[in-house]
Amino acid sequence: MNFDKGSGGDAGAGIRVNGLRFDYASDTSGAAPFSLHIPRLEIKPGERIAIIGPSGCGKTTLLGLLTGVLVPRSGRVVVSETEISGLEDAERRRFRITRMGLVFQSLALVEYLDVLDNILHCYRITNALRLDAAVRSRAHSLASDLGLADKLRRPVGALSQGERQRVAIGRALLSRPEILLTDEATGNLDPLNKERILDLIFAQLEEGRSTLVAVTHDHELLPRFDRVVDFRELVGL
Amino acid sequence: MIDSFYLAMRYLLFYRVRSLTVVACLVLVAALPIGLDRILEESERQLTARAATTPLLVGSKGSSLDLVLNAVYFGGQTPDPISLAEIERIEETDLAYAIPIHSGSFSGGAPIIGTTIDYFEYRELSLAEGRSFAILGESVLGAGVASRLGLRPGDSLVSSPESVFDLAGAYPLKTSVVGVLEPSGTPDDLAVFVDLKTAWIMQGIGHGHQDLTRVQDPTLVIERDLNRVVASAKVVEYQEITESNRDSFHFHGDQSSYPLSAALVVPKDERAATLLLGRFVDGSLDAQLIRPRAVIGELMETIFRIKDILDLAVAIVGTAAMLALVLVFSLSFRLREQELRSNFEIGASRRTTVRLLAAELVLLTGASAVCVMGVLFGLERFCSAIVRGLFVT
Repeated sequence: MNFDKGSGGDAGAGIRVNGLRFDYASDTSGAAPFSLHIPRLEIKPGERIAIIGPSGCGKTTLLGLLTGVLVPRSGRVVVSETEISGLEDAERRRFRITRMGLVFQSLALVEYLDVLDNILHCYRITNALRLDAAVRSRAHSLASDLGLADKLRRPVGALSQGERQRVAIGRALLSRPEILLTDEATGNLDPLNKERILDLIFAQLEEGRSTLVAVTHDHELLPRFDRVVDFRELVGL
Repeated sequence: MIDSFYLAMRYLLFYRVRSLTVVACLVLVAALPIGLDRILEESERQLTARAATTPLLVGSKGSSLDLVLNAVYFGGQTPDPISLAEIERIEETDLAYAIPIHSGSFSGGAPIIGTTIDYFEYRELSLAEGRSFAILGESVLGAGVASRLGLRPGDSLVSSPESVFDLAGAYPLKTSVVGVLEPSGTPDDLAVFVDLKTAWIMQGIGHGHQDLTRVQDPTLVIERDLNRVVASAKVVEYQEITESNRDSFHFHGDQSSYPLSAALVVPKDERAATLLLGRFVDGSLDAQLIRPRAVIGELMETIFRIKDILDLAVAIVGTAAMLALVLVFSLSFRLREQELRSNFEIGASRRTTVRLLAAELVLLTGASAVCVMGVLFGLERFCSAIVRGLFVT
C-alpha cells in the first residue's frame, strides 16, 4: 500500500472517528484500568481544531489512536480515506511518518544529536522519506523561521526548554505533513514566542492546507483555532 | 543503512567515554590471547633456532638451563667456570672441535664475550664495517650494540666487571673497536666480542704494567732477586692496551687452568656427538656436556604448561569482560528505550531499531578490530625485539 504524498492529494486530510473504544488494562503498578469511548468525531480537511480537557482524561490517548500508535478495541479511525485502525503495524508506521507530523508533550528529542540533526531525524529513521538537498535546505529555512539558525550545531541538551520545543516543532513540520498533531506544543513558551510559533505553524499548514489537531491547556490560544473540542463532551461526560 | 551508521556514529561520539571503554575491553579481549600466542611462537622460534645451531655445549656442572642461557643467549648469571683444559680434553678425542666462550664483563650494558675468530665463522657472522679482532685490546661489536651506543671502528669501549664488588684486580679496560657485525637477529647483535686473552685481562687474570727490571723509583719494588721481582701496590696497571704497552701484558700461571664460562662443541657427526656425550655421563668429571636444543625443549614445555594456565585465565577474564559488555549494552538499551519508543511513535519501522543497534555494534567492533590490527601489527614489528628483551637481556 502506498501512502506517499500524491496518492491522496495534498489538500490536507480529513479525520473520521466512529464508535471508537479503547482500553488500558490495569498494570502491575496498581493503576486503575482506563477505557475510552468516542462515539463520533469528524475533522474536515484543512481544519484547525483544539482539543481541551482536564489532565488525564484521555486527550493524549486520542492522539495515539488517531496516529495509529494505539489500536482501538473496536470502532474505526479513518484518516484521509484510509482506515488507520485496519492497517498492519508496518503500514501504520509508514502512514504516520509520511503523512503526519507529531509534536509530543515530552518533545522526544534525541539527546545525542544537534539541532539540525534532530530536525532531520524523521528522514534518517525510515526509507519512506528521502533526505536530499531540498530537504536540507528546507530544514535550514525552517530552523531560521523558528529562531534557531545560529544554534544548528548545538546539542539539544544545551538548549532552553523553549528552544527544545521549537526544535520538536521543526522536526514535525519538515515533511510538510497533511496532518499535524500536537500535544501541548506551545506549553513552555513565553507569550511572544508562543504567538510567533503558532504563526509559523499556521503559515506552514496554510501552505499545504494541512489539518491541525492540537491538544492544549492554553485557553488564550483557542480563538485562533477554527474549532474547539471539549474532550468531556466528546466522550459524553 | 548509511543513516543508521550516521546515527550510530553520533551516538558513539556523544557518549565517547563509554564507547572508548567498550572498544578498549574488546581490544583487550581479542588482542591479549592473540598477542600472547604470537609472543610465545616467536619465543619458541628464536630460542629453538639458536639452540638448534649449537649442537653441544660444555660447561660446569649445575643448572644446564643457566649454562645454555649464558653461553648461547648471553643472558642470565655467569656459571661457574671450567678450565681451558676442558677444551683440550675434548679436542684430544678427535671427535669434535670446541669454541671457547668467556663471559662476565660488560660494557654499556652489553655482555663482553671472549672467544676466538672461529666463533664468527661458526655462527656465520659477517662484518658490516672494519675487521675482526687480531691483537690484544681489540673488540668487535654486535650490530645492536653499535647502533645503541653509537660506536663504529676507530672508537673505544671501556669494560666493567660483572660485579662492582670485584676489587681483586679487575680494572676497567679500554678496548679499540675494530669492527661491527652485520645484524643477525640473534643475541650476537647485543654482544661485544673480544679475543679470549683480552677477556682474561678484563677479568684481571692477565695485566700490563711498567717494566720492573728497569724502574728507577725504588718504592715500586718490594723485593728483587735474580729470578723474580715483587712489585709494590704503587705500580700502576695499564687500563688501555696500546701499541707501546702491548708487549708488557702478560699472564701468570698455567694457561690450561684459565677460566672459561663454557665452550661450544661442534662434533664431526652425530655418532661423534653421541660418543662424546657418553664420556661425559661419568659423574666424576667436573664438567657437563649438554645438547642445548634438549634443554630449550624442556624450557618450552614448561612455558607451554604455563601458557595453558594463562589461556584459562585469559578465557575467564575474556568471559567476564564480555558479560560486562552485555551488561553495558543492555543498560544502554534501557537508557535508549525512550528514544526508540519515540522513533516508533514517529513512524520508524521495526527494522530501524535493529539497524541502529546493529550499526552501533558494527562500528564498535570495527573500531576494535582496527585497534586490534594496529596492536598486532605493532607487536609483529617489535615481536622479535620484545622476545629478545624478555629472554636474552
